[in-house]
Amino acid sequence: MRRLIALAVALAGAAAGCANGDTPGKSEATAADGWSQQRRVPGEYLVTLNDDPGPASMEKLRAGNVHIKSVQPNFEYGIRGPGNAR
Amino acid sequence: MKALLRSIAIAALAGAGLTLLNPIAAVSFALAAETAAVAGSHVTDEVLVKFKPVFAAQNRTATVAARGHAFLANLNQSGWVRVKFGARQSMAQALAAYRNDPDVEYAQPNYIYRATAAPNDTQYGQLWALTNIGQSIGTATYTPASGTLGADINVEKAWDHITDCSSVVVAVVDTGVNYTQEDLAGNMWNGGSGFPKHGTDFVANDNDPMDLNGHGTHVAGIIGAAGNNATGTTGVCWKARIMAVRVLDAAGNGTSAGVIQGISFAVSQGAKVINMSLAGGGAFDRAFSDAITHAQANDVAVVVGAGNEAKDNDAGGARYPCNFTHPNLACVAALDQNYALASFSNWGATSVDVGAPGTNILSTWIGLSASIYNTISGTSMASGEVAGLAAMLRAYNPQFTFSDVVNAITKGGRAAASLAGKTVLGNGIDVMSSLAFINPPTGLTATVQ
Repeated sequence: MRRLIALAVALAGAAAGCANGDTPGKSEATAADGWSQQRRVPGEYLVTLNDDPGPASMEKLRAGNVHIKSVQPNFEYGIRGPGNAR
Repeated sequence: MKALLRSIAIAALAGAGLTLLNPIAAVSFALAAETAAVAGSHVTDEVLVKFKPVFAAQNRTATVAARGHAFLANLNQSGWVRVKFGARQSMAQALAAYRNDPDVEYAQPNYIYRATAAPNDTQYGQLWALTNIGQSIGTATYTPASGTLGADINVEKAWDHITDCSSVVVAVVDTGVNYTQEDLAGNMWNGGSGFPKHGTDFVANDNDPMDLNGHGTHVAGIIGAAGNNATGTTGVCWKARIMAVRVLDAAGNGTSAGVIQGISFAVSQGAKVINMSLAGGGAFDRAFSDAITHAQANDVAVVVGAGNEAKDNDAGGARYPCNFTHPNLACVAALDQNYALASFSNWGATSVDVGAPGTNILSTWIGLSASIYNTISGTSMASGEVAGLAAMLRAYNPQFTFSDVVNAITKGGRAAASLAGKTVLGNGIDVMSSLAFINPPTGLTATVQ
């Protein structure tokens, strides 16, 4: 199963779930508690999905959630040079 | 002479009504003038004359004086004397006068020589990008493997003025850096107890950015392999502070997430130049763009390669990060040993800023031995040359902003026919010219009286 890391600017995931009345699991609450102990960039989260619904679905998710400012794929980069070892 | 030229330069600028807020700019202006003067190649009003052994030494002064010239000195026991002929004659006339004299064996101009700062590194002769004498590269993997005299980045003249860029931290955001390589170990960033291995790793998520590919190490050596240490190669900077930021894995691949973390780390740890010899696809990457904007806000210059697909980045297929339009970003195409655009290099009349050597480049590498070097090609290597120049400019001009640096690199370059219409200005980099480039002053006001 391919995983997609969505780079979400603005509050995502847990806050959106709470707004819908969902209750975070115990393990998630423990992880979130730990987050407060480390400095973080306000408004930015790395979200790992269980599967890849595709960019269109992610954009739809963003459009339907006031907390999410933007979502984009985690693009791949590389050196792609023609060089070869001596 | 240097002091005189500096005085003339300062006087000329003052005469033009400008108040120099930047004295270093005046020195740079003088360097350009000095270079031009040296290009004259001989003292304009002097000749060296060798009299025949049978001609008595005590008669030399009278012979010179009879022509209205001044006898300056006996140079050695074999009859050479130094003569000043003054402004009333040309060099050709003065030489002809002595060469037609039956008592004279030979006459010649008094040529000018100057110290050049060629380093003593053992493989310096293979570094055509730094000094191209038309040499063949023994380990070449790209054809042509030999080139054109002078088709290089003109760095030796610049080394007469600066070789130490260690006041500027250069982050190599890449596959990591082999920080134990013999030509790099002494030029790595000191990360203190927090980053004892000279950087960090956003692939393995630890603080050991050791290179498992070789690419980042190669680029690091182009920027700042230790120079004049009788070992291996030299970088554009002989002394440097290279920060290793690993965002690409052993296969040379990475993601937006790693790259933006790498940029954020480099900026937060004080890097003022970031080299990113990497490329992705054609989709606009907002997160990557924002990271470069963050670098811009912190006055960090970013240098990237144009890509190696032999395509036009302006024509329907953008290549990021090259196609980002941030003013702190310089995108670089690769030139071969004749200063022709390398066959693999991307180009772009609006997206690619400048060209630099990128074929058959020898530099530092990875391996069990600390003495390993390798010859490879790519716009990544060209990017490294420009990042080295950016570090040198910032070290030479500590008050330079990213804007000054990018201006001096692009506008201070020299025209390369192969880049006409293929980069923004059609220029390849020229280190000495960039060092002497004076950025137009800003914030000046004038009153007409």
